[in-house]
Amino acid sequence: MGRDLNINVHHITRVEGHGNIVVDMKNGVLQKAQLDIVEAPRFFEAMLKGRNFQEAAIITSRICGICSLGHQMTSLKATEAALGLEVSDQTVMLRKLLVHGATFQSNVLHALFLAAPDFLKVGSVFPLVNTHKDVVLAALRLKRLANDVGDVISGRAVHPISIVPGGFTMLPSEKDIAALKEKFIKQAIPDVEFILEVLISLAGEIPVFERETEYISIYSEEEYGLYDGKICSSDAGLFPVEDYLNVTNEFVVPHSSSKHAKFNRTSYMVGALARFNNSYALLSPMAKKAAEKIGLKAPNYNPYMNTVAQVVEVVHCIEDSVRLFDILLDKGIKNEKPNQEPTRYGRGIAATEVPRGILFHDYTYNRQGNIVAANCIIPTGQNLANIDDDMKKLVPEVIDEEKEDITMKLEMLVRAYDPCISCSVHLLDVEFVE
Amino acid sequence: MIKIISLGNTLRGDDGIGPAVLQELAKTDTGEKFKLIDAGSDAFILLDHLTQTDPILLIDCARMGKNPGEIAVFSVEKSNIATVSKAIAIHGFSFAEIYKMAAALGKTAPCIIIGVEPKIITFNKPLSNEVRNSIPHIINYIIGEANSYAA
Repeated sequence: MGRDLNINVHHITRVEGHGNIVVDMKNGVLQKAQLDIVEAPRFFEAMLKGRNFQEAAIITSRICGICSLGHQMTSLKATEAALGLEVSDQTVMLRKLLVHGATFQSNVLHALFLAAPDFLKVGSVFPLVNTHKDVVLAALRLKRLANDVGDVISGRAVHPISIVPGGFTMLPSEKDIAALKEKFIKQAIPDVEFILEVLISLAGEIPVFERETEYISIYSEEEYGLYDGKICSSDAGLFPVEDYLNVTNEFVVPHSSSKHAKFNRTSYMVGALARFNNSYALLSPMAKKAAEKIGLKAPNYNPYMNTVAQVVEVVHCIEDSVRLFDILLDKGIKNEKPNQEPTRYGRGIAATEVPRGILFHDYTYNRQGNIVAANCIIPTGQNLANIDDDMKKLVPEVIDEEKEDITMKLEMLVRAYDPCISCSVHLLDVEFVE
Repeated sequence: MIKIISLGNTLRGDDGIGPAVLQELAKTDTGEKFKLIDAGSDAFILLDHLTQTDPILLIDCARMGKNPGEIAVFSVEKSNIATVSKAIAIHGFSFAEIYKMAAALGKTAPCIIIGVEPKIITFNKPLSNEVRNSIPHIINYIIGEANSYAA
């Protein structure tokens, strides 16, 4: 007689937002293995309607306090696409620095404060303060440095102020850029190298599990895809960002207030592992060495390795930031005003990689410069179907283990995706019948 | 330099007292005596500053059993951390956890909390009159502290 197994983790810990893990197996037959999303919708797309192009990015940055920069960046790009606003190379470089800062800050916090406690068999980061004090301090220093990048370049670390459609309202000085560069070289690089060594020492604690899926991310011919590029599917190749609806194919499921997504399979994965798998060749030299040292090779089909891919990306973001600082210092900071003269009014679609994966914003403007339609597709929502499919494969493979161990592996699986659940629940079309 | 750190959510009535005080402070001309930091509800921002050396004045609404708008000022010590923690709300962590974490990581910055008893902290409400009226008193206190520190 097969095993009966019932697991219900109500509000999994160490993720952003609220989700429940539900597993039901009867007589060895898996009835259900899924992540129930129980967050309320956020209604940001509805809030954007009627808003002026100056306001859109300010509003959407409030979708999240963790990935506010990513939402703001994608929003700006969508507005610029809709209104035909070109931005300068300097603006692009400064934005890339901001994206790097947001990426490495989020990845460090997730890897060390949210995921690592599992590898060290403790319930939270607090015990690590006594046992791994130097690692916690290194993580806090990196977070502080990422905040400094946000403060210096965009006026504020969370919900940036000076990045607007068409450019920046205030620019950093070359002295500020030089000071950041020095901190990156003297502090950030040693800190991330130390963190990498710690992660290597924990590599044996990462669960061994594989399920090949479709990996979707931004892809650029010129650099590791974070700020801009085309949509890349590991199954189907490259697509223009404007085709995002044909890629994401959102659908509603009964157990989730966030929609799911699928493309060429029943699900796909976005995030650090997807970016690594699709753009490995474009990682910085130090990041490639880090990946080699920790044994991460592309393609990798173990979703638990998403956390490892995040740390590799931290190395990349830090090294590439130094490259960008050098270019800016070499060229000098030019006193540019934001370009805010629309050359068209229409629909604009943009994609950026935020820490958790590819983010889409889609706006349509009227001739008054106000939004008449908006859509946002969030990376965590795109991952949910993949998490469910992972669970459905994982549970039968570990069914002979103790219930507590199976539960822990399921929790670690969800955490590995670094979900930002509150971001992921957006508007459902509801028709009221009166 | 003294750091003036506000906790709280401007969308939730009197929970917005911290950011409101920062807004008023930003209008004053006090030179380089203090740095204004809006920590929202982010525990890690607070942790980051607690692990540095500059003294902190933390402003938040705090349920202390007083009348709405009444202010209490207290130094954070290990002896009163449990009491403080019950009054201060940070998303995801308690103040006690953050303070203990900072202490375990090294010496903590001197920290004084300016707590204001709220009247209402529901969404979509402005500051109550009682709490709004406490702002000038808080600002006077902060400027006094900043002047003493600078002297």
